[in-house]
Amino acid sequence: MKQYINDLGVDGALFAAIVRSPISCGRITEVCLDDKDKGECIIVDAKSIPGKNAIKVNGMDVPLLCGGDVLYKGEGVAVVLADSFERAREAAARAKVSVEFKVKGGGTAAALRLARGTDEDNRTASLRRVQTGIFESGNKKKIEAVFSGADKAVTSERTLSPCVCVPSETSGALCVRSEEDGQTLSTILCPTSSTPRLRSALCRMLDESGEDITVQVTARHDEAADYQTDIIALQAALCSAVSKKSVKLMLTRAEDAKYNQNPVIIKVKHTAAIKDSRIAAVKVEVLSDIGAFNPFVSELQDCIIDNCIGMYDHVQNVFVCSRVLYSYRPPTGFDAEGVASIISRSRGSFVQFSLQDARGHLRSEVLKAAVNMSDFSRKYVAYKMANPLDGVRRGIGVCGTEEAAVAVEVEADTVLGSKTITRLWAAVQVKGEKGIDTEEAILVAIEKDVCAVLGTPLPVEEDGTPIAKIAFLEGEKEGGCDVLSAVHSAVLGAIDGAFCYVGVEI
Amino acid sequence: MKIPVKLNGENVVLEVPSNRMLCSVLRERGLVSVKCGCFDNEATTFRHSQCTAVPMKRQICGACTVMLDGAPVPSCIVPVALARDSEIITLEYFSKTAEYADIMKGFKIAGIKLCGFCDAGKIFAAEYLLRTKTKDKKLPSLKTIYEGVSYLMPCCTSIKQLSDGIIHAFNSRADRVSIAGRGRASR
Repeated sequence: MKQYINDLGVDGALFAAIVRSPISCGRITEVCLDDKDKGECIIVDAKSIPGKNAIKVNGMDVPLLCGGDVLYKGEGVAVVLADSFERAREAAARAKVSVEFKVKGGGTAAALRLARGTDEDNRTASLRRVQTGIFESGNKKKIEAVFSGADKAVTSERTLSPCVCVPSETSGALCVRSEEDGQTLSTILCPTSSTPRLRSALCRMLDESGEDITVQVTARHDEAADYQTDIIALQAALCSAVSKKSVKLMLTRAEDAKYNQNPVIIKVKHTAAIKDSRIAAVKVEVLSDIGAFNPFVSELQDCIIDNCIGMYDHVQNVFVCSRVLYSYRPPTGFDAEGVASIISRSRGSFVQFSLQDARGHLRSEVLKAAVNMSDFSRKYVAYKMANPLDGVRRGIGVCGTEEAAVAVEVEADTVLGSKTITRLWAAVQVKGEKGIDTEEAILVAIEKDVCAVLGTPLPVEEDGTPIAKIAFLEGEKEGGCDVLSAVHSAVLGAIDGAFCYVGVEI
Repeated sequence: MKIPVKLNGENVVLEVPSNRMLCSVLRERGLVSVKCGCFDNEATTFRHSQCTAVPMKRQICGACTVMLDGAPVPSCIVPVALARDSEIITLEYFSKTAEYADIMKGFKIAGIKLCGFCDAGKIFAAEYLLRTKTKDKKLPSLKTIYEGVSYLMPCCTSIKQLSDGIIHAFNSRADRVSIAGRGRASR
């Protein structure tokens, strides 16, 4: 008979519950117990970790306990230990989490509204609302005109991959101290899928070899989130190391459902305008909610693409809008620009892609200043009206961080299949000292992109000077790495014929 | 409250509050084959302010099934007081019997891989059907089998696969009984 962690127990073990971040975007400054629980419960946070607070998940370091910037609402920030699960969970729910909002410019009230959203109970919904990628393909105004003159409009809506809660054992871990002295951690029982990965992270976390610790794999459900089981095991091991007692950590069913069934929901809405008994125009709206970490990224991308391009091939007037909602960081491997590019090519029209970000009121201000202070304000309008069929394609990339903002426009000649960068303009506004040399970095990035796509070096003027024109608006000539992503977007946008706009709209 | 029951062939007296669910009482006694599946046990004692409870129907997964006086019941919704003077059989006890071996053989032929979580629901549903619905040693109709397991929503097996497993289990049991019968006759 298979044994799950919930079926196992050790005498004298402490029970653990996780304190979760109440905000989706910000910095955790302190986590402390309520006055009622002081003396009876123990709290363990990221500061208690002697070694490295990280485990490798999909090639990315994911913190075991949030020690600073919050990745998503509901992220574990501390673990509370008590003599029963009920006691630990009550104390965890009462624990006080002090936060500092990173969002600036709108005051604390605005930041609170932004971070919390309207639904207090939804783990990442608030952040998902403000951090989205939107691809739009087709001429929206023209299609709206067709719709307004149509005989009738027909709408069909469907939801794919609904989150179905399957009854299963919740995730957990049990850390057992040595029977001989009770001081050393001897065994970790958990349903890990990779003992070496867990052991490696354990050694890094405890900052010791950990060769005496046995990892015993227990029964697991197929639905269990792989990374989460290891994180729970490491959290339990940390608690055991701090409290010097055996520790059992179990997620509640609600917590487990959130992790195990990362709520991927794709809503598809098709609206067709009927004129003279024929479909005159179609609007396709695809809304995908992909969460913070998602192991099914490639399937998800395929699903989005299929739903955006898979229907109404015979209809000329099609407007596609795909909105992708995700948390602070998109899941590793999710290539929003790649998806936009494929939709663009398949539909034979341009895709406007925008990535909205929750982080920067300040960034937004810097960005506006950067755009307004240059000629790009006019060119930005021009690019929207540019006729792609004349062979000259323009892409614009606008990007900003708290340190730097950049607007880049690239013009490429694509007549007869040739792809040559003909012009490049950039306006950069930077603050602060950190980062790499912006001018050089932009040139290197352009060289790299052009070489990758065209297989030729960046052309130069007759006098030998590079065709790139870069204007620094004010401040130092240093910037962050996001400058490069703006350049990258712009170059690819021009070459591939996809207009890219990467910026902030809050 | 003192509640006398026959638990896995042994007469015991459970000293627990009468309104507690049978499922949690059995688990406390170490009978962990009884799982709290679709019944969210935490919801009654604890509400995590930062997590949204996932709405689920009750008594559908079968993970908490026990045999109460020969009939499979979802122990997560049965107050322990209702089990007074009853016979309770859990999977720990039943797994040592020949009937269990028949069912497992049938499930194996049907390709059912048990996840270890909702086993009790499937196994006890099969046992109940095989014991009560096989008139004149004939295989129950497919409709009867479907009706007998349709209340379950096991997490790892489809109803079709489960029905196939029960048919194979019937055959296994019939073979075993006939072999045993022949053995007795020859003696």
